[in-house]
Amino acid sequence: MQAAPSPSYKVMLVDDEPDRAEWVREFLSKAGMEVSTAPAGRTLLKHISDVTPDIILIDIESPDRDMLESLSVLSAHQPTPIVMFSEKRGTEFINAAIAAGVTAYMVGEIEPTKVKPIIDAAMAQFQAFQGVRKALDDSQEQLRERRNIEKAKLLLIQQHAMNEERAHQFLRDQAMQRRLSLGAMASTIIKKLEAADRTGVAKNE
Amino acid sequence: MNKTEIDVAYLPLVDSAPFIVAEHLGFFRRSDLRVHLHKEVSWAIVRDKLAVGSRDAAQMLAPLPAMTTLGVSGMRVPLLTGLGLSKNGNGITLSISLWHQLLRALGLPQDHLVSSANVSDVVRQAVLDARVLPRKLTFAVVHGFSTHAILLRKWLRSMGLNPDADVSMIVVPPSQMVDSLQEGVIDGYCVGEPWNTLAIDQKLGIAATWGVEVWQDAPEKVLCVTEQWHEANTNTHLALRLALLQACVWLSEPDNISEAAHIMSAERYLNIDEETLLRALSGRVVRSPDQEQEPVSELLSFHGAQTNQPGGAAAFELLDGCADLLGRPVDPVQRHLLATRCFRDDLYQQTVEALPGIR
Repeated sequence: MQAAPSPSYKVMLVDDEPDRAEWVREFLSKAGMEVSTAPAGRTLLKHISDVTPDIILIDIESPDRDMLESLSVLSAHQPTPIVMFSEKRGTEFINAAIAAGVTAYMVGEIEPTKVKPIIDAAMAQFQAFQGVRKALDDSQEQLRERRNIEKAKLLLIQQHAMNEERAHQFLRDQAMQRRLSLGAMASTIIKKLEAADRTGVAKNE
Repeated sequence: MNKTEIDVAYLPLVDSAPFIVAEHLGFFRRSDLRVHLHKEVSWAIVRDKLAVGSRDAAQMLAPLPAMTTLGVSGMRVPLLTGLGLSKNGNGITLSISLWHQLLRALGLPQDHLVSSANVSDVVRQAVLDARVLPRKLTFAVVHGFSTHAILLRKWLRSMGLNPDADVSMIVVPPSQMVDSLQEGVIDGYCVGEPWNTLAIDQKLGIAATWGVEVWQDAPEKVLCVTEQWHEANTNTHLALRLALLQACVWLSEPDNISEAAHIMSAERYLNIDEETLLRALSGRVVRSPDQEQEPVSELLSFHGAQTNQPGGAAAFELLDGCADLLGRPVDPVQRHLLATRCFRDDLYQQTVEALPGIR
């Protein structure tokens, strides 16, 4: 018989954000780990007893954490998860876990040194996901700002007979005077000019 | 340097009243503190945030400062309490459909009176006699190291049952208790109010017993800080204890109860209707959907030496209850060290001396 492959741990991701769970699962699977995902909430206990994971990764702000931490105390017929946070690791690790929004529990009989790379990899992925999401949010915000600036200039050109260069200059001066970003100033101007336009239309009628 | 602006964590429960009242009625402000209250979702996150310093102080389950100092619950961080915030306040709920099933099996009328003694009697027979109920009962608590878990074990023992062998125990977050009962995932649970009353009102449960009927003077919630934070902010800690003790005294006045219920029902605090809160706060509860309200003495108490003094006999009883949960006795020397290190009667005395007219 062939020698058994080196043991790989069964990891369970508990996450109500399917996108994030999938992102982390894919990465850990590629690294050769057996990863399953489970939603937080009432069915979690059943998932745990069906899958019997070695390691559970869960959102640090999940209401289910008290349940996970209590499994080891309450009864012998449940898996006995031990929390990753050890004395030696100290608060720095927890700080990192809090920053990444994830916390880890593992079942007893597992050497912390062997699990650490898994946890580190998972946490790096969680953090990377936050990064990706933030970048996405940022670029959408930039796009919106740029659109607002163009719209504000257009309104200035139409309603105040400015040319484009003059409109741009006006926008920049106003923003500087009020210590606003160009985007924020643009949306203020749009609001004002659109309101003025509506009253104008009302008068004309 | 003592901080004057602090972040304080709590879980939205009936016994969070001292924090809510202290904020709403300005007790914090009068102690020259700017307090930002933060609603949290689990005791684990409260503890983590205390440990990393993102919260300065927190409401905590009474067993957790000692158990966290000992390192048996989640992680090892030296925590302490210098002020108890509430005593008792829990109840044990039993599924109403199970109750009716057991009454049928025992040949008792369906309108059999729901009282502590009657429920104990029926449950004992159901557990011991497979002909009455051919399966194990499953009970839920909100945390492994909680007065709820200890209370449930005391209750089962009071019937002559073995909590480790005769029933199953699991942990379920409070907000999922009622649904889990309805779905038949659990047969009963031990939890603080309003979760017992809510199950009874929805005709899903009966009150098997109220905590005080099984365990008098059970420490419930405490004000918790890390040892490190206390040493760096002794004056702030005292000011905080003063404000909260004043809130506890205010809450012990029967005339103030309906105002407290009104304040706490707000969306930013508990977001639960006033009437439900009022029942727990006033100690007038129902045991079954078909029975009248009845007073239960000391159902939930916020003030009195037995409530606010963290140490003493109650602390030792609590530690023994924790040892029972762990399934091993705590070494007597360690037990004493833990009691004096984590339940700081000296800090309580200091608070009382600074507040003239308080018992």
